[in-house]
Amino acid sequence: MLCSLLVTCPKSTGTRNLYTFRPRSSKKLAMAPPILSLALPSETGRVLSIQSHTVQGYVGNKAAVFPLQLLGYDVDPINSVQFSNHTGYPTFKGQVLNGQQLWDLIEGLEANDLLYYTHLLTDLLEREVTVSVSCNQSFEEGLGRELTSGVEFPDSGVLGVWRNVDFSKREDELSLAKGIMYIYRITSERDGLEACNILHAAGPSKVVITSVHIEDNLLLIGSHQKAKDQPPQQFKIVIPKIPAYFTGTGDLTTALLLGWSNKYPDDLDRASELAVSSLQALLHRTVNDYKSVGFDPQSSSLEIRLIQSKDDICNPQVNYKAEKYH
Amino acid sequence: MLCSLLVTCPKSTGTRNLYTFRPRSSKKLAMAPPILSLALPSETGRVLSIQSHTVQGYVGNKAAVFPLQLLGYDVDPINSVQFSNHTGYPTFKGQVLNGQQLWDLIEGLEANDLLYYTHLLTGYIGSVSFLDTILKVIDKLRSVNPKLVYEDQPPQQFKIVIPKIPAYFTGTGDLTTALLLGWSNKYPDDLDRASELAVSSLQALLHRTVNDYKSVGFDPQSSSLEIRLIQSKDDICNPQVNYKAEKYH
Repeated sequence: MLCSLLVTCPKSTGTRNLYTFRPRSSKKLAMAPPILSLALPSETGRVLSIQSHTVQGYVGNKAAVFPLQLLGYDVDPINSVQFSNHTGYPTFKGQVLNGQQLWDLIEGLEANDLLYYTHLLTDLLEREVTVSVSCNQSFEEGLGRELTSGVEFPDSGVLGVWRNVDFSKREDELSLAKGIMYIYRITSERDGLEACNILHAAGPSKVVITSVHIEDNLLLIGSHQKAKDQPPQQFKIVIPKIPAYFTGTGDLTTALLLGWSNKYPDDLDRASELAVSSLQALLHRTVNDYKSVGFDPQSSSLEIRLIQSKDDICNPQVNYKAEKYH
Repeated sequence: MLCSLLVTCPKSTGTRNLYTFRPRSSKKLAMAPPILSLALPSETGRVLSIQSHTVQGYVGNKAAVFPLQLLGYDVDPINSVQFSNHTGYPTFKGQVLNGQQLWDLIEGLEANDLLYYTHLLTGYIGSVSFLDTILKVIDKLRSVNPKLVYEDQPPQQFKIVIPKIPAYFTGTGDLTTALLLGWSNKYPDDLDRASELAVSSLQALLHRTVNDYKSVGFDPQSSSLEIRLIQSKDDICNPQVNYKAEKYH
């Protein structure tokens, strides 16, 4: 249920590079070429995706990057961890990026004028950390203005809302104790709509709650406030529950919503229909594939059949329609 | 003003490890599910790809993984480094995996019975100690699947000399290796055909790359170019075979 943007103070790097790397090209770049994903007009964009990486399985960046690439986006992944597999398995092993190492990568991009992104995507971190936020002028200016965050709502329907951090204040260290946190429990459509309104007031013009559990259905609730002084246009999509557990679906859904909502910027309904339709086709394929090898899909959480659902991601058959609230 | 959602840890203490990982699923796996990429018959496979990762640009795993996924392979990437960009830029920053860290990942996979691969792909290896570990990895994988296919990459200093394309690219060697793996596995008795498909994909992509840079007024000869990998998706999935193999008699 937690979403995090990791930004840390830029400290002077004392570590020396222990390895010698030969340049990939015999012709070392005196001048970096233009970033075509920005220079050429398209309905896509350039996404910085800071999520976990698992060698095996489809969660985090493994779930988010491929779909966005299929939808035509250039995605630059920063892997916040590199684990053998996700943490739901009996064991896992690997490495975690600390704040300084993350910042090193940002500095490397900055030094090459590679920090202009249209979208930033961060995943649902499984870790609870204290984050120091430092306002670095060039970092903030380098980021695009639209932030999409992966916010997942677990079974209990608890929504965590954090008030914006105001980067314009330019403080060196902004302790999160200054933030304001709302916890909202969503058990009905009305709760969901109210949560959307609260989030609109906090800044975002588009809000999607991807799964509100109501009896045998999941509800996706979307809300688009097209102008500050207007009430938001709100809709729902009703999705029958599939009796199985999956991993990676939140990360995948966030990526699909980013991908489609950018292509249909004024039609969040349509974007959500496409995202939901892709996801549901993928989930049904996943369940069927496990059944076909004689595995009971309810006996453990399932890795999604992401690669095999390529066509459902590129050209979803829209089987789930949005119903507007009036 | 950026809108951001930030996380606070309510129980941070001074020297304690700050990271607590909760399982992703509320239902922790007592029994791992079968690996469908192996259990279900297909003309593809399960590839372990140990290559570099750059945040920006298309070299190493960034060049190899997407095409193989497009061709239907489940690819498990181990990122041997994570750099901001490739080393041909004026500067680069990032982190390097050492042999022990690589082995940790292998052990993690092994502990979950996740070490059965059909193919192994490696790229640029930056140190002798890492190479030593790679050799151990090969042995380990072969002990699980004696039929493992191991592809190595062409020489690192890669310069493409192609008639009619006067330009430098990065990532083409890694991409070519991935395409050859992908197609040669689908045509195991017809390496000519596999090569034609790989070369045709690559050439279409390179022509698109040059044209795109020209279209924004950039002289393609003035620096090495990042390939237009994402934009060449269809050329990778369904290449128009414009380059034919000629047999020797």
